[in-house]
Amino acid sequence: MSDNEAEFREFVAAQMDSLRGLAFLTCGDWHLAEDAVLAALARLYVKWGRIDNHDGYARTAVVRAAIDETRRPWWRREQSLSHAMPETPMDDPVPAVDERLRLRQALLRVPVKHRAVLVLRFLEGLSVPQTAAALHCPEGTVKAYTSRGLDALRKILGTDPGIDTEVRYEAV
Amino acid sequence: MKLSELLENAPPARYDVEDAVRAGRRLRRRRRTGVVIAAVVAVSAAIGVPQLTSRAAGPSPSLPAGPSPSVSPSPTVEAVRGPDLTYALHGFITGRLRVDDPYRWTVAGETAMIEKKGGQADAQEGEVTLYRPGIDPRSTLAGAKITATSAIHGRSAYRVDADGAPMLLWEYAEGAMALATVRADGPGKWALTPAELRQVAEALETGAPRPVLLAFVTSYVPPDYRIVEVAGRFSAGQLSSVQLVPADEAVARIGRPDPDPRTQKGSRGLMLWLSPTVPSDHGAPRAGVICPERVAIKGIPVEKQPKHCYTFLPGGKNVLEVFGTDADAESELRKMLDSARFGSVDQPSTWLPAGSGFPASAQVGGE
Repeated sequence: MSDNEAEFREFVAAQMDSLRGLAFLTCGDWHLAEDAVLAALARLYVKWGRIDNHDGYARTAVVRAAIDETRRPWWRREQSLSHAMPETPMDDPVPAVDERLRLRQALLRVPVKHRAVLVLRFLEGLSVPQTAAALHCPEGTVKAYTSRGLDALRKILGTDPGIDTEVRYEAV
Repeated sequence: MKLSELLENAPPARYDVEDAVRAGRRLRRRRRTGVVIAAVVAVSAAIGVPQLTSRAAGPSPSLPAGPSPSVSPSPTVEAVRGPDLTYALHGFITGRLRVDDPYRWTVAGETAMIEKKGGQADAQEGEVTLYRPGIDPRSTLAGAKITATSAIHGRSAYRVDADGAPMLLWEYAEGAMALATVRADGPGKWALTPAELRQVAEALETGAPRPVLLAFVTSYVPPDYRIVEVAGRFSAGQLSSVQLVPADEAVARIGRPDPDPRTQKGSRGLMLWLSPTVPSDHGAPRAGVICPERVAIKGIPVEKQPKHCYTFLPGGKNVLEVFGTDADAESELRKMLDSARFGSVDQPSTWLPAGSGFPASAQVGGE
């Protein structure tokens, strides 16, 4: 096994769960999220020796692949989703769980690029410049999408989303 | 609440580290061999407009009036012989653009890379595909906006737009169309303007047929298989590959654009490819033909796994592999590799003509 491959294996073992979560919150389906992560990791494998920031590359590739998954033609999404568990909210004796489902549903109704910004900033804890670099867009766009994304969440939920946005105020 | 709380109760992961490594190896192989660039729409996937095929299920574009090369009806196996294994396009330079000699031959046409002076050193900026007379590639452009533009050398030309990806479609010879595309991802992305695509079209001429050269040939091909794609001298990898499909399927391709490999179900063909040895995949160089034991993967039983054999080239730096279907006999794959001859991989001047290096029966329409 080459050094590069050993490093790649170590990276995947350490980051797989985190990347799955990132993809899931971006595209809203575990099945699609895992496909997106696998596609992104395959690209990372090919380029491993040529890039320095493996974390950053993987995050960017995963978010982009997850966004692409949400843009697949509806009939292909239907096929993929047909085996997935429904994500519909249901009553739960524990209010916190119900609240999480409600927020997850609301997040999925936010436009996908706004959602990607929210996820990168408040799940991954990236700063505005880091998020801009990950999504290949201007910092101003990140700020605007952050604001609009949170605003959309407020409107969907009818209340403040209650997301811990501490990072936003530090980074802006 | 933190967003990370939304990830509680995640289902068990379907993929692990080994899956990621396997996916990476597969992707590296495909990139090295250029197999991903297997049809005009697949060319778009690699350098142009991947969104085109995702719209294949949508309505066809309304096409402007223009040249309407007649698409031949699907011929019978006995009726016709396919195109020779030769290239008509010769590389040329126009301004800051260089069109290389073609690197890929298919039943439908031939493809060459377009490079721009001062552009990416490790990637082409676009590609041009010359279709054989009578083939109309517009059927592969569903979802794209096609508008007539000023004629090129007195023949019809069209600008093609698909989500901002500029392409140029024109009649380069009587009843024969060409399509120039620009890379839409990775290095070299969007590096060619519509004006530069036109510059390529205006400078392009065909010449005397030249043989398609490969770093390997084989004098044995299973009787029912025909060559439908040959790729060689791909990028700096100096690789060669040959795709074969059953004779009836090969003959059905005559007079039509290449099928989109991503929408084809299953794998009915054989793929031969030559690439640098990967020690973790192939082990230490050794003599003879190696056919690794098949294993069940992802719920597919062993007997349904495709067949795979390989042999090292002299020196062990490169390997020739053949991938078959589960129905192909391993003995046939071994025979193909045992019957292989090689040029010097690093010296294209020593490569071998595919037209005479493979049996005549392997040509489309061959007996």
